Amino acid sequence: MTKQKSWSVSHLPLIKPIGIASLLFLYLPLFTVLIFSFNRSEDATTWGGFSTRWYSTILDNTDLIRSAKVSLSIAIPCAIIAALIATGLAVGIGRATGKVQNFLRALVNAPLVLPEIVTAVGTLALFSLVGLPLRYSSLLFAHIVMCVPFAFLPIRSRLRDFDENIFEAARDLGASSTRVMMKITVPLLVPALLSSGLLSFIISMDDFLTSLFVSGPETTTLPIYIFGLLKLGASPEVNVIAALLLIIPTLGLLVGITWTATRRRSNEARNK
Amino acid sequence: MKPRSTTEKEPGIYGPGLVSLPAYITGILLVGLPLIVVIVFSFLQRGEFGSGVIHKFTLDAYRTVFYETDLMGNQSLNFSFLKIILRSILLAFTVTIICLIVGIPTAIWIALQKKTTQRILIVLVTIPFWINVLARTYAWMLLLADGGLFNQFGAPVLLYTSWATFIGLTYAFLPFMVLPIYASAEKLDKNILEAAFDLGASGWRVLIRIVIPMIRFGIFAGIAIVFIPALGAYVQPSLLGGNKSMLIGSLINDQFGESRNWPVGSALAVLLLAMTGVILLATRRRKLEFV
Repeated sequence: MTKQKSWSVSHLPLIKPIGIASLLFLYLPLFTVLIFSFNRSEDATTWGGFSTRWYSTILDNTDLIRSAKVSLSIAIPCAIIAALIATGLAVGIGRATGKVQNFLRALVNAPLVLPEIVTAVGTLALFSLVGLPLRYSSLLFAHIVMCVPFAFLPIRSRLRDFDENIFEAARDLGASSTRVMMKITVPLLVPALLSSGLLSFIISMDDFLTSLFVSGPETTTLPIYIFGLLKLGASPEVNVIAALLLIIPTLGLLVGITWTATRRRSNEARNK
Repeated sequence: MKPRSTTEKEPGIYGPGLVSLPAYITGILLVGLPLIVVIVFSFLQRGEFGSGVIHKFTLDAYRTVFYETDLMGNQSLNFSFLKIILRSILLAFTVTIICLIVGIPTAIWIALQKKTTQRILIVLVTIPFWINVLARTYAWMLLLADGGLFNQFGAPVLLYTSWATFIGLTYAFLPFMVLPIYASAEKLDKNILEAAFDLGASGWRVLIRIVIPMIRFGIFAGIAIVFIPALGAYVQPSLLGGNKSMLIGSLINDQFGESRNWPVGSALAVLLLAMTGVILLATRRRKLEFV
C-alpha cells in the first residue's frame, strides 16, 4: 500500500458495496410502487403505458375517504394532547435522576421497546375489564399513549441544547418555577413542540396494530381499511393508495428538514 | 470534586415538577396497568361466550400453550403452539443476523462520508421508516407476486411463503439497525483507523479489531430494536406469508379474534413479554465490559 495515498473508506473490505446495495434495496420497492401507480393497465403488475386514470378513481371511493376522516379525527387531537403531555414530562422531570422518576419515565417510554401487539392486547384487555366501549375515545386514548414517547424525543433533545445557567439564573433572581416555565422554557420549546406534534400526527395516522385491537365498527381507520384491501392482493387502485402513502409523508419530511435547516442557518448567521 | 449547584438534581429546573403528572398518570394507567391486566388474564378462565374472561384462577391457558390432552386424558407436549413460537424466534433471529450483516457495513460506510453526505444518507435511511408499513409491505407484494416484477424476470414466486415474510421483515427493520450503529460509528476517530493502516493492519483486521469493538453499543441497541419487533410482527407475516406458516403475532391476534380464547392469547403475550425482557437484559450496556 502506498503511504502517500490518503486513507479512505474503500480500505475497509465490503463496506462500500454493501452500503450502496442496501440503499438500493431500501428504495427499489418504493420506486416500483411509485411507477406502477401511473400504470394504464388493469393488471396491477403488468406495465401498460403511462396514465393517471387510477388516481381519479380513488376520490370516488367513499369508504376510503370515510376512513381517512376517522384517522384525521383521531390523529389531530392525539398530536396536540401527546405533545402537551410529553412537554409536561420533559419540563417537570427536569434533570431528575431519582429511582422513582426513572421508573416512571421508563414506564411512559415502554411502548417504544415493547412489541406493539403486547401493548395492543393489554389495552384491549384493560378496556374490556373496566367496561370502556370500543369507540372514538378508547382509540384516542390508545393512540395518545403510543405517541407520547415519540413526542418526548424532540422536546428532550431541545431542552438538552440549552444552557442550564439561563434557568438557574432566573431561579436565583427569585423567579418561581412556574414563572420560569411560562417565561423561559415554554417560549424556547415552541419549535420542538411543532416537531413533536408532527411526529405524533404521523404515528397516529400510520398505526395499524393497536387500532385493529381497540377500534370498533364505527372507527375503522385508514390503515385498517387499507389492510383489508391488501388482504385481497395487488390491484391498480391499491397501487395509487400505496403511492400516496409514500409521497405524502416523504414530502412532509423533506419540507420539515429544509425548514429546520434554513432556520439553523439563519440562526447561525444571526449569532455571528 | 466539582461542587454542584442545588438545583441541578432537582426536577424543578425547567418548571414545576407537577407538570409531569399527566404523563405519569398515562404511564401508570395506560402502559403499566394493561401489562398487569394481560398477566392477570393469562391466569383466568376463558369467558363463556368466547370473548372476555371469567374471574377464576386457573393455569389452563399455559397448559393449552404447552400441552394437549387426548381423549384418554393423557397429556403430551403440544407441538402446534411450540412450533409457532420456535418458528417466530428462528425467523426473528435470521432477520436480525441479516440486518446485522447488511446494517453494520452500511452504517460504517455512512459514518465515514463527509458531514453533508452523511446527513443526506441518514435522511435517505430514515425516509422508509416514516412511510406507512402497509405501503412498504405492499411494495413487496407487487415485487414478489405471481406475475409480479421479479416473476416477470424469471424469479420464482415467493409471495405467500416464509421467504416473503423474511424479506418483508428485513426490509422493514434494516433502518432500525443502521441508525443506532451509525450513531456510534459517527463518533469513530478516523485517525485511529488511519494509524492502524499505517502500521500495516489489513482492512479486515482494522474492521474486526478496531471498528466493530468501538461501535458495539450501537450494535447491541440495533439487535434489540430489530429482534423485539420482528418477534411480535403481525403485518408482514399476515400479508406476505400467507396462512401456511403462522407466527406468534398472528397467533395472539387469532386468540383474541376468531378463536376467542383471551386467556391463551394473554398467556402468549406474556411469553412474548418475557422474551422481550430477556433480550433487553442481554443487550443492555454492560459497564464492566472493556475492549
